[in-house]
Formats: sequence, C-alpha cells, structure tokens
Amino acid sequence: MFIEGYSTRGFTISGDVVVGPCAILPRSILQWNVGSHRDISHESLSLFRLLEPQIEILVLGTGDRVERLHPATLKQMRECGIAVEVQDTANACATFNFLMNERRMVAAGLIPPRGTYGV
Amino acid sequence: MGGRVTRVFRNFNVENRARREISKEKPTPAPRHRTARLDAMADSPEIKEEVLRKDDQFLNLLKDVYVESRDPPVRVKDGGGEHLPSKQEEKRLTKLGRFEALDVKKVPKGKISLVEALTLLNNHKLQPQIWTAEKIAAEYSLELKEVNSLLEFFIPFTVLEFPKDTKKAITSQNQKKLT
Repeated sequence: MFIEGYSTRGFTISGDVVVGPCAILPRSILQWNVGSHRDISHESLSLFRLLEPQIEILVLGTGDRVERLHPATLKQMRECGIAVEVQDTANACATFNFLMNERRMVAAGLIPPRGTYGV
Repeated sequence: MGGRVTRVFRNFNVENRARREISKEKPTPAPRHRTARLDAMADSPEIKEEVLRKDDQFLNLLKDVYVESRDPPVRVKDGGGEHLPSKQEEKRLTKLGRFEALDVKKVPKGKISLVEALTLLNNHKLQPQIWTAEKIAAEYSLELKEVNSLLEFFIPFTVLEFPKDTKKAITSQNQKKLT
C-alpha cells in the first residue's frame, strides 16, 4: 500500500481517494479526526500505541511544514517502543512509501497541506 | 609572471625524471608518520622473538603478586524478577482475523489487533447505542480512557464507489468519494 498523491483536500492511497487527515495502518486506512498539528496528542495517537503486533515507526505529516509537537507526547511514544518521525506532509508521504517498500511495520498520520506556499 | 617562473622549474627535465620514476622496480614509499613507525617495529623479527621468550625475572616478580580481597561479597543483581516466567504479561485470545500476516492469535491485555480495531470502530460507527465505549472497553480488555480517545480520533471511512468510465465526474466530485 503506497501513497500515490496528495493535494490540499486529501490523499490518493493505492488508487483510493481519501479526503481529510488520515491514519494509515498496515493494510488499512482510517479517518484521523484532527484539525491541525495542534491536535496531535497522546490521545489522538492512541490507536498507534494500542496495536499488536506493534508498530515500529510512525510517520507524522504535519501539513505545509514541520511543526514542533509536544515533547511529552513524543517521549510517551518512545516509551511505548514506537519511533516517531515528524515531517511536513510532502516528505512524510515519501518517507512512508520508502519505509513501506522496506516492508517495515510502518503507520502514518497525515494532515493534508493547505498549499499556502504556492503549491 | 610568478606562475611562469614556477612552471619553468616544474617542467625542468620533466621527461627524464618521469622516466626514472616509472622504470623503478618498486616505488619508494613515502616516509611514515612517527606513530606508525612503532607499529612497523612490532612486526620485526627481533621484537617477535623478545615477546615469545620467557623472562624468568618477570616470572618471579609475577609469582610474588598475591591479591587479597577484604570487601564483603557483592550481591548479584537479579533484575527484580521481571524476567521470570511467572511475571509474564497477561494475554487474551483475539476475536477474529483474516489478514494472514497481520493475524495474531494472542494479544497482551490492554492492546488490540488491527482487525479488532477496525471491527470495533466500525461497530461503533454503525451502532453507537449498542457499542458504547464502556462495552468496547469490557469486550476488548481496554482502558475506558483509551477507548474514548480511540473513538474520538479514529473513524472508518465511508466508501463511495464511482463508475470508472465517468472520469470527469470523479474529478469534480472526488470530495464526496470518501469522507
């Protein structure tokens, strides 16, 4: 399962058009009910933490550019044994595909870019 | 000006010098650094012999050495018994599954398999009155707090399928395709 495209509305993932922020899990996609990077918290990352078999690495796409997440949130994820990679959405898509290609247990939480930077 | 002078010196007799250099049997290696020379010395036969020879004087000195320890015996750390089999985390059997590679038979309590997660989220979406957070928490041995955040932030997509041939319609309506 690869991300084939992204726009200001959403993503194209293995041929399916997805609108809004999405959580990509191994072999499945869920709608991720966050508005912006400010909503990324311990609670909104709950599913990534609860899954068994455990997710190795979580790629977070924060929109137009990389945003600083709360250090406590990142620390808690690390304590659960999940590596977190925070990037802007464009790079996060690429990173996700790359890790997917390496057949890792990878999950992603992606917020579509707003495209205010001339995209 | 200066460049012309140096070039004259550099090119002086250059062909002869080059010929002499390449006609050598083995090129002369550049001098080594001071510290590297010590390493090279260790390989020399005299040093090797010296190292292998038994020195009676040193041996006698060594025989005189006797170590006595007067500290109380140190207790061995046992890690608090965490690795003992009796302390293994509690597990439960998973409900169902159909993704072969992602299927897990047993899951630690407080965790869920992917299939279960999708099932419970979908159940809650379709029948929120029946599948309340409390019921889900009890059914899947999860904490209520976690279930609440799970239900708040993760929602299954509504899948709408569009016929393949109306490509234009898809591009203008793709916002409605999956919400």
